[in-house]
Amino acid sequence: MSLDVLADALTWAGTAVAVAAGLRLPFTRGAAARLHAVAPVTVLAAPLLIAGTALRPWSSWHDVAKLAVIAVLLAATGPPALVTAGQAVERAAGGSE
Amino acid sequence: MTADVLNTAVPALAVMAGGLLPALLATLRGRPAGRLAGLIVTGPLVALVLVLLAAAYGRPAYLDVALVLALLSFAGSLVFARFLSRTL
Repeated sequence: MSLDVLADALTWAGTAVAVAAGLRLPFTRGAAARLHAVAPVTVLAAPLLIAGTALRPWSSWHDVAKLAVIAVLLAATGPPALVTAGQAVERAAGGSE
Repeated sequence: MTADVLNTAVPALAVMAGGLLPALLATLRGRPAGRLAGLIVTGPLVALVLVLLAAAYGRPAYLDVALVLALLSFAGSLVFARFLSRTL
């Protein structure tokens, strides 16, 4: 498998996961279910898409390093943001009942 | 960037924009707690769109914007979640 094919496959896989999560969001009822629906974007779609993009020829290794930092940032900050939002949703639900 | 990159990144960019619109819609409609999920996903989606833009049009400067956005969207999500948990 050549590097270009692998890059294409990773890019399209990441795009498919992100778009599926985005399209699913308006049709999901309930805040907790929505948080579950958006979880794969940062954890799965971002590393896949950025890995596919990083395999492309860039003018400098700095650009690839920036891509790696973006992927690590998104993958590392996504779950804490979702957990914090989930706690907020739980408190909001408890307060309204 | 070569023409091969354009062949992949531009269609992926268009498809990703198609996924971004429903996320923005979910941010604009519904109860505050449900809209927070839309806000949380919109930041990373826009960062990914910027990465694809940088790859599609050969402008690595957009990567800096995506980097800053990835950091700030996390901070913004935490601020809004904290705000919601205090006020609701």
